[in-house]
Amino acid sequence: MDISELAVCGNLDFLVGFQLAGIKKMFAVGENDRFEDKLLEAMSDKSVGILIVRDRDMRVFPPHRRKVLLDSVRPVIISIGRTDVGDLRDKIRQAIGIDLY
Amino acid sequence: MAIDVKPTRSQLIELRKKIKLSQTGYKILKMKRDGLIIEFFKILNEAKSIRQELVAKYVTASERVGIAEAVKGRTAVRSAALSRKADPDLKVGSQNIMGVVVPTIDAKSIKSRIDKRGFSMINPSIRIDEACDTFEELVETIIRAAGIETTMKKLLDEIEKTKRRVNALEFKVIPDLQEAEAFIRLRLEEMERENTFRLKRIKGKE
Repeated sequence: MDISELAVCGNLDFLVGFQLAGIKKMFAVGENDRFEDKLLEAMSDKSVGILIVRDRDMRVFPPHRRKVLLDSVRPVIISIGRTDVGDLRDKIRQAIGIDLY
Repeated sequence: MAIDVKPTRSQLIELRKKIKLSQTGYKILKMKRDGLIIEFFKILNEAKSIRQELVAKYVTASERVGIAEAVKGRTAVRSAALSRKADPDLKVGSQNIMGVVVPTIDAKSIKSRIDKRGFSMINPSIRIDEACDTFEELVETIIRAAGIETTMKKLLDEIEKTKRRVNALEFKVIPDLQEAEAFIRLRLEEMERENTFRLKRIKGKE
């Protein structure tokens, strides 16, 4: 088993709570930074096992690109703050043939 | 006819072998697809509930941080966050489900005791501790969700891939091979009849 780290990518308000939970690896998106650049930087870091992002930030990407990013296995990208599960529902419908989600 | 074949006996034998192989492959792939679907159903309910849990916990945790910031001030919360000790380690392994390699994620030391967090003991705040607790719970849920959702995505990809292969074999490859086999068989029979007729004609002339 590989030892990996948890990382968070987003603005300072989003990061503070995770810092309180003890996560040290942070990719802070400042006012002059682009979220996309920080996300790619986080994804290229080999020590990151799970990358936590905010769903609102992920919406800057076009649907296809977002799908590719969220399907990443190393690191696993978990977008939180989302209430609808459209991407996963579509994937299930496509693979199984019926809407199960 | 999709396959270009020569009507010879060796081709017929070759085609029969191919049909047998395709049918065996088709049965195995169908079993694999069914097995993957069973595995998928095992985690479906868990995946559904964990996403709802994640959203609910994130909302609670954000509220707690907001309350802590309102009560103690943003600087105090940021300062507590920066002084926080212990970085949770993840152990990422892999597991094989019907040929699909899925990650297994194991985490240790997410929850910590108040005195091990590294916060100042002179000016403690219950609001910051509450925010800490809820975010630790959220991180635990995120880790569980990461494992389940990745497994589900990989299983779905493999189910789709296997389904396409099964359909291709069932509706394209096997019917084409069977059509080619029938063509050769009929052609050979025809040639045999022609040959018999020819021999009879030759015998009749003698």
